[in-house]
Amino acid sequence: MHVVVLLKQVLDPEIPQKAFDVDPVRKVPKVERAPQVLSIFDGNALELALRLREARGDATITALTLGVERADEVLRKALALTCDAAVRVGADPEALDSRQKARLLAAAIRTLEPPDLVLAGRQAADWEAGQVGAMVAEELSLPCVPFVSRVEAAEDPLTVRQQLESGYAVVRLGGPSVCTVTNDETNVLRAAKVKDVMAAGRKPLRVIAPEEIGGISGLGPAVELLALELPAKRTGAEMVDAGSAEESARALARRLRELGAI
Amino acid sequence: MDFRLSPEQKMILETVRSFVQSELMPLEAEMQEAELAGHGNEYPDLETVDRLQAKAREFGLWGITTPEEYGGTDLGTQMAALISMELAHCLVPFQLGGYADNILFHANEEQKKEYLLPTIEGQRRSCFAITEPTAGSDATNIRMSAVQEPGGDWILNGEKIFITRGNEADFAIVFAVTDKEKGARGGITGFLVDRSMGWTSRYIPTMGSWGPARLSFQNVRVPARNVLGEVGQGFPLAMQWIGNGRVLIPARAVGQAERLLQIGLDYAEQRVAFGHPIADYQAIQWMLADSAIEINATRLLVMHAAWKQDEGLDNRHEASIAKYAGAQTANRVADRVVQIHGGMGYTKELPIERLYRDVRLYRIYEGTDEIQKRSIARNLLRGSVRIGEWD
Repeated sequence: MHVVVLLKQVLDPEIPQKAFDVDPVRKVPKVERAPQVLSIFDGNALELALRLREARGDATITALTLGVERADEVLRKALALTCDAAVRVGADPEALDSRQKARLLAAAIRTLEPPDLVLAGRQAADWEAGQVGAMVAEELSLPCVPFVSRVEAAEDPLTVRQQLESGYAVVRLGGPSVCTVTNDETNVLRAAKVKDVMAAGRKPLRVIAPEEIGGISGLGPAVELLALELPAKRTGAEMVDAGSAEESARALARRLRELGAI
Repeated sequence: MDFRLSPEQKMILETVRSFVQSELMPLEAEMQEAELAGHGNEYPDLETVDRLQAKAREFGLWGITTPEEYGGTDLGTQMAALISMELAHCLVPFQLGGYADNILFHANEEQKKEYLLPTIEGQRRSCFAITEPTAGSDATNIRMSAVQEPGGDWILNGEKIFITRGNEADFAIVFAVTDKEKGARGGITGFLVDRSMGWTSRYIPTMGSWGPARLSFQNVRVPARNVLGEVGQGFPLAMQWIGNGRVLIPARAVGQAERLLQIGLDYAEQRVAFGHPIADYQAIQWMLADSAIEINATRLLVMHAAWKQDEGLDNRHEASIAKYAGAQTANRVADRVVQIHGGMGYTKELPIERLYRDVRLYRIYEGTDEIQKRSIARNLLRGSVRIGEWD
């Protein structure tokens, strides 16, 4: 069984608000000095792949990313977590929209051993668009199951749990599929073992140039970003303190009603 | 000059952080309860430490300075220093397992099987015993005697004091005088002495969580095969042991100071006095700034000393500077953070007073501040280091 996990390097969402800034002209976040990390839901997808391999024993995992050289860090991390292979499509994700990225990622997947399962985080922690996973499925003509949180049965046919608004569904996959992964308590990404970290540095890492796989010629951006700005800073909070907790709660409820909030 | 961490270093630190968050941090509350109940100095107990070390081993955090042929990961001094800093962000005192005293690697093959390997595996516990009631910083003046009998056995008599892990150890690496005339220049010998050979220990209560022991040797018979290294060559071994700690001890001090500064910073932003958070006042800001300056400087000193060690360069001068700076920084920062907290900092409701007491030890053990300064000055006066020169 071959599992491909799509990974994205993003600006660390944990950086202090003060450290975050955007370039309004280029319409991109300023990331030069900010720490970069693996997007959280992609980490969940990776953990799900690792658990699936442990349960089956016969699976191999390829970590695939699209990014500039800096993004090799997430692949090294994937290798340190014992992924079997790592591939990067060498392109700047900030210069591409979701459809273009999906086109390149799908083309890269076609150069690999055909996958039985493609996993991607349900959305990346930078733009939160949540489109690439489903679009990769479309490009590869594979079915897509969104919001998968765990594998219910690892043997064929693979059965996964899909999170729904009011519960969950158990979905049997009829064949090769794409699943976008959401978090739950079973798929928190584990920490790499020290010896695996050391070994990861010696494992090969394949870089594919977009031109090698057909590029995105003829595929213009489907959406245009018109402006990117930080929200305006506003100060002024209203304190509600009416003495006792009960009185304060009553005063707060009154005030919220006055404001039309409730 | 590249100060960035390598991807490997970053990933290993992520693993350490994950261990700290999942295993160590949850114990802070328990430690504080023990503190309030009056037995905080004994926390964590040996059983807890063993359990934590086993858990850390699952992450591969085991034997980080132990050579690979002995089952370690041998990550080098720089990585070990970074890991020490990270571990020290949790207030629960903890050290990784898979470690043995550096001088045990000088043991012969038979001794390695009996002492070194089981110590690395955590099956045996060692202690290093040189200090005596009348010989601390002046370790050349130790008096414990070792007299060889015609049959070859050595008979040890004397007292050792302030011996770290002396109560828990099942064997001691003991230094005794085998030739009074020669003293430290060929007259001191190291011995591997099992507790079962007859030495006893007594716990010494201290103001902090360091619980050393007093060791008593009365006609303790030690077989000739238990001499560590060569007869008369013990003093250089002892100095090698002491030298080893001079990089990793200040690394831990830096980590603790960083956590303290974070605690101080959080409190200063949240505590309101005279209508403003106290962080708005310059008096508090300067305490935060002074702490940050000293921590940063010390961190670089530690990493430079660690780098020299990894490069195989003589780092004794830099290690002395780092050890001194680490001790001073941790104490100053602890003092300021108590001050920022005011009355709360003095209570046992918060862990700050415990750290305030604990870090005082840094200025005393493994070479006092004064000994470090003496070494630093001597290096300058003898011309063994040159002012303003880079490596």
